[in-house]
Amino acid sequence: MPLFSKGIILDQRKEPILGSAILEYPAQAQYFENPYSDMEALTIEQLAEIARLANIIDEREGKPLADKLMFASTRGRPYGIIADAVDDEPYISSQLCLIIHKRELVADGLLLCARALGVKNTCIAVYKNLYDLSVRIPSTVGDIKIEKIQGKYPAETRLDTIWGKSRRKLIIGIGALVHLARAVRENRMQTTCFVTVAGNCVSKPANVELPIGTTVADALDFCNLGLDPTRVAVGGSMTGKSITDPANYKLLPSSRSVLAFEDKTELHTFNCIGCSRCLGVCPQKLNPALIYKYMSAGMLDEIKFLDPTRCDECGTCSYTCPCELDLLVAVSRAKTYVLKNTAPDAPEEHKILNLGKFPEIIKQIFSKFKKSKGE
Amino acid sequence: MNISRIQKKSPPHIRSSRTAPLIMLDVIVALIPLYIMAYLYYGFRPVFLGVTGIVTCLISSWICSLISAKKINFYDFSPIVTGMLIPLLLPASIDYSIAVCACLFAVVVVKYPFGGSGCNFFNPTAAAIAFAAFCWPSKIFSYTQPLEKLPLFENITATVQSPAYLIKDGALPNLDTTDLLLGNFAGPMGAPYILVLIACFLFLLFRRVVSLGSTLSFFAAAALMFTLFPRISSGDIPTLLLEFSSGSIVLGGIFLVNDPATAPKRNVPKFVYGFFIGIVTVLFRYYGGFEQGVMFAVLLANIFSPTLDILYEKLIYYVRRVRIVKENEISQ
Repeated sequence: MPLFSKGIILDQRKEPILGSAILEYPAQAQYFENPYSDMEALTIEQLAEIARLANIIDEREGKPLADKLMFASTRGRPYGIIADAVDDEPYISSQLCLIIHKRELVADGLLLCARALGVKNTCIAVYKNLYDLSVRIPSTVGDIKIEKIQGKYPAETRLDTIWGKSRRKLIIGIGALVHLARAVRENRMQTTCFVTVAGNCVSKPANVELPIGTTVADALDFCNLGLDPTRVAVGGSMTGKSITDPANYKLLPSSRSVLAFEDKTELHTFNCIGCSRCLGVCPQKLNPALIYKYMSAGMLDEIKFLDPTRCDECGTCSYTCPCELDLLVAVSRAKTYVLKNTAPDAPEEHKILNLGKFPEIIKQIFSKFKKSKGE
Repeated sequence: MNISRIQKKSPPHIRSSRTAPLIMLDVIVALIPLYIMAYLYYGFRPVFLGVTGIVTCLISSWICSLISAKKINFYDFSPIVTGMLIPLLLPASIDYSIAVCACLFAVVVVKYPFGGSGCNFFNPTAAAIAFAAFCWPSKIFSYTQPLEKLPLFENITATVQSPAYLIKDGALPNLDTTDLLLGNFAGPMGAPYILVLIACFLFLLFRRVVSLGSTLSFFAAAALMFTLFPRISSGDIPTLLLEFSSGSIVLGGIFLVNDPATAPKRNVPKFVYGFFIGIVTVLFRYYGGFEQGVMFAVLLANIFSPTLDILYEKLIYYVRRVRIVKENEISQ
């Protein structure tokens, strides 16, 4: 039930970036030699070969698209292909803008994949709760339907609920599809990536097609940095990575945004007031406040009961925390701790944390209970 | 670009605008109507009591944080909430010195030894009222008639007993339903106004400051106890209304049971917590030495609330494991 899903509703702040055209950073296009002639009857191996020659990287995971296509074909035909344009984090619209401004290439790339894999079902996934847009998101792109994912942030984890959870599907980032269409039709290699440059320090925020390897400082200067930022993040406003040397950090195909913020100076420091908002919003139903307390108290042996390994690192807990505590950091630290100590090669003295033990105990108790009942 | 200002920060890079001071401000806003009602019934004395409470709590908490070598947090409004709540649970005729003592007890003894706001194990307001009730029982539980303006700074000898005391004594108070709903009878200066309190509760609920679970289960448990074991057979007025309005059950159920720092965090433990407080409150009122019991019940339940939380967390853990094992068995 997506309507009652846990999470948060975020102000999307995608305008005016989404409505304006995609800017192009001056760069030289590179071409490769296409070994195939009939572009309408490509097999999946041929398509993967083109993706490999064109160096196309899927921006979802940062993996080569060729490997993903081959992996999907070796596991048997998937039920359908989903193009991921969810963009549920505020400020970012680098995937969504492609639906509006490059729709022919998107449709072409998706249909090429579908034809090569022999799959009938295709759709483009978009987040539904984009209520503050002035641009209308179309309901179809060509013949391809746009599925809207309902519910609260994070929506990207609910991509596999389209067509039912049990059906196997191939999820490809929409940027990779654009690059695939360009590679097939124009023999162009992927030398660029689509990046949103935004934040309250950027005076002309925009979606930019930047060459891979551009430094973050260049990207910010291209969009006119107005103020000196105190925080520069790459990869998303909720989950992105904070960087300290923008002049040396180079953009990867998987970095979907560059954000520069000027934070308020921190005036107050609160303890956890126990408002339990983080529990209410956690999509995995964790207890971030208690994990935070245990981690700061050093009660590491108790932390396994709080299941920090289930964390998706979506950042909703830190976002909602009225005391501005770094809950996400505590939870992910707890996660790495538990994962390390439950690994099969963990040292023997830490094996108390072995998660497999407890169901056995419960089973035994239940079986004893059943026996005594039977007698 | 000046990179010297750029710092390493952890995600998320945006934060919700609902910060802790705003949440506390919501509670303060919800308490103001009670002061207006108290002003209408008793004149300016309740307002002055409230100001005394706020000033005492604020100054003592600042001194306490200085003593514990912390920076004073001027955005922490929780002492204001405590300072406003304590006089509301006391009679309007109370001496200023008693109100100040109760406020000092709440901040200096209950709150700061455990680490300040958010770290306290016991609800400071409930503890302060319990403390005052043990020290000055005759002053805390004797009231003046409403709609008589009280003198501002003199000490008043109050003689009127509240309906809660009369019920405990076996008598039937001479009140009608309108008086009960509007709080037109002797009682704590902020507690009897049921309609206003319900409006405050709806406001807090709408602002998501309080949760429905603990309050509803508290009222349900108290109502259940009052219906199953009635101690008065009233003629005209409903027993439940009389019992609920006469003490500070409604005020306690909204502001004490929902105190975020001391209540459990998940819904099921919250429900258990509220239910426990409801039953214990009624038991205290029936068999205890005093006519009111909410604060004692809240204090008693505060002891169990961390345990309830951890036990429920472990229960969830086990249930998840069992489910995983079952799913694995099915897939095999």
